[in-house]
Amino acid sequence: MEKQATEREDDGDSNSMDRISNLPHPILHHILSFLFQDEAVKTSVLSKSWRYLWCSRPKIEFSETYFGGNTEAFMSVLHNTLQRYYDQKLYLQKFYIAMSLFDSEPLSLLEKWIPRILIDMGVRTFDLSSLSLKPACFDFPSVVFEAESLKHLYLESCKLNPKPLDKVLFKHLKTLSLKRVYIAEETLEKILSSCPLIEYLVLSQCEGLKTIKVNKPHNIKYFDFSDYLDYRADRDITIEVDIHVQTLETIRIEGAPNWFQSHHHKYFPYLKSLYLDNLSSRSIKDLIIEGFDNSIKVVIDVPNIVSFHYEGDIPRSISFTTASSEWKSDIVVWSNVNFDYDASSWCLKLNELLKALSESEISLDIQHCMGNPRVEEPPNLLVADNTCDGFYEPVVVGHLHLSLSGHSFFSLSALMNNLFCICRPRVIRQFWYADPENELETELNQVSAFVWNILLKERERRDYIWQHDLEEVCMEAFYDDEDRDEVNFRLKWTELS
Amino acid sequence: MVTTDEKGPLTAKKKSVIIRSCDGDEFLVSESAAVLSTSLKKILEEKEDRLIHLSDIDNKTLAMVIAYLSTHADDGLSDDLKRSFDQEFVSGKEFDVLKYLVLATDTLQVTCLCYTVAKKMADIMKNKLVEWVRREFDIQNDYTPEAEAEIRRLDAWAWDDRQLEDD
Repeated sequence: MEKQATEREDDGDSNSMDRISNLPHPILHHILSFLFQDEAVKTSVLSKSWRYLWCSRPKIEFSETYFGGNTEAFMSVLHNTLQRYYDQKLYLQKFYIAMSLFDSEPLSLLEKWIPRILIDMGVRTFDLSSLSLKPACFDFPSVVFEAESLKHLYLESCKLNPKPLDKVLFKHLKTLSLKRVYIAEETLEKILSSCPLIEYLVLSQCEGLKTIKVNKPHNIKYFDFSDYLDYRADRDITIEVDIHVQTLETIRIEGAPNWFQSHHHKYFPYLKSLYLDNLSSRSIKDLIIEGFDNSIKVVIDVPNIVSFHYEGDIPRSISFTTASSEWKSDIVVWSNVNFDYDASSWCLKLNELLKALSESEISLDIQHCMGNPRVEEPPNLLVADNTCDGFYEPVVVGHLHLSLSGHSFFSLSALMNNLFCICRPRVIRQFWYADPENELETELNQVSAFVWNILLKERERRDYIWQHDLEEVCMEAFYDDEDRDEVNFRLKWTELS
Repeated sequence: MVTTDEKGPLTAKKKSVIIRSCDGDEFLVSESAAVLSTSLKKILEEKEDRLIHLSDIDNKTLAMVIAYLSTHADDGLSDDLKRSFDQEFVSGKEFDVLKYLVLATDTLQVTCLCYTVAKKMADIMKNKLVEWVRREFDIQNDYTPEAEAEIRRLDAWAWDDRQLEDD
């Protein structure tokens, strides 16, 4: 111990060796502002010059989880930290807090501080996240509408319900993200019409809205809307979304909204990414992006699309208009049909979807889940399936992945034979984690073995049309970094005419 | 010596400026790239001189900053490409290189790059034990053990080190 102490006394010049402490304080503050609160606090023991550095960084970021259930400690540390910034008039740019919004004491502490944080301290970013998924009950103080310096507002699980709302002073707002927030329609309209600079708009599982209408000149680039009826108290209401803003670059729609029901021509010249997730067939019926009537079609006019993501049931009809020459579509289709009987009609519907996307580089993931797995005889390849016939055209698919559970090989055979009629995958990619204990993974392994069988053995028989077009099959098997087994089947097909 | 950046021949027709590093190397930079730095922009607005001398930025750091500015001034590149360029730009760079970069971007007021570099430096410190950070950056611990223990006690809530890396 003593020896160490002597060494320390000698090292008056050792700071010149120090690779970080000599940086100017504003830069160290900048670096510290990327750390979580606990990480920032810990820098205080690095050396004496670091003792108080973190205390004045421009960000406060607390989570109640740091305190392992000790609410009192959480409240006291939060209060003291805020008080210090307030008393010393320190610059606070960002305030993040994650807490349970159901305990009255921490809530009243937060309520007390919100006006100071938003108005007196003038934060640019205010982020409140809830540690629970329960719906809104905390009334967020309406002083927020007077926060002139606010640029980014993220709220979760609260009510934003000012009465009456006279003025919105956060004119420079760029981000508005509301998750599980109760917000009256007039309030949202007022915000959107008062804040022309909003670029990033997220409305996730919000209540209180019947329609969301944005069609004035606006600057929104990112629009994310999700709505799961199960979470809402007013679940008989289906929210209508009518957003027609030409600046949009990314649209993300999840759940079951009535989207774009109006008859106007919708046109998104800058749209690069379109994500449609978890859309049930019920909502797809109403999904019209560019529609001239209320038909049951998905019509998408996006001249400059780069990527299109879709996850859900197969839409009844879809058409794509784009001038883009290089774009990708990432399609995850769900199915719970019994392929023993319905493989061909299901594949015909899938073919319609693929045809609409045939200009793009398609990646297709089929997620099939059947209720009761049946134990079948080993694959009987003599069984003739009700192979696709009718108006189908094979479509080139870059990658195909089959996520099948509870299937039988019998129905898998029907699926594959139909699938190869309607699409020509260049690579079939299957992977599973090496864990012999895990039955599901073993099953995935069997899927690969079976795919191989179909490709090779059935090929010799040439019972099916697709077999005549398949020129070459090559199998690659490898482990990847994540301890995952992967098998890729590379297929070479006769050129499509 | 005049070193042209990648866009040199193309942008030579446009207005360009010469920037000299503290060790005397000169770089020809298009004005559209130079003005992405707030302080260079101010200098250019104030005086006609097309030669800017930076007395505290060395040639290697300056070359990196100019590569960044030129890429971001290129209208032909999409935002996505620029973003992935930024990630590439900081990945694998030594801490000391990042340190000179963050100082240079602070001086030149290149906000975006300053942000990216500072974030990268913070990422290096994330999830690490205090002892690791001291070793890595040659920080001399000038606390007595008692004083250090006292500071740890003050903010006891922050000290749950089970998940941290020390290699």
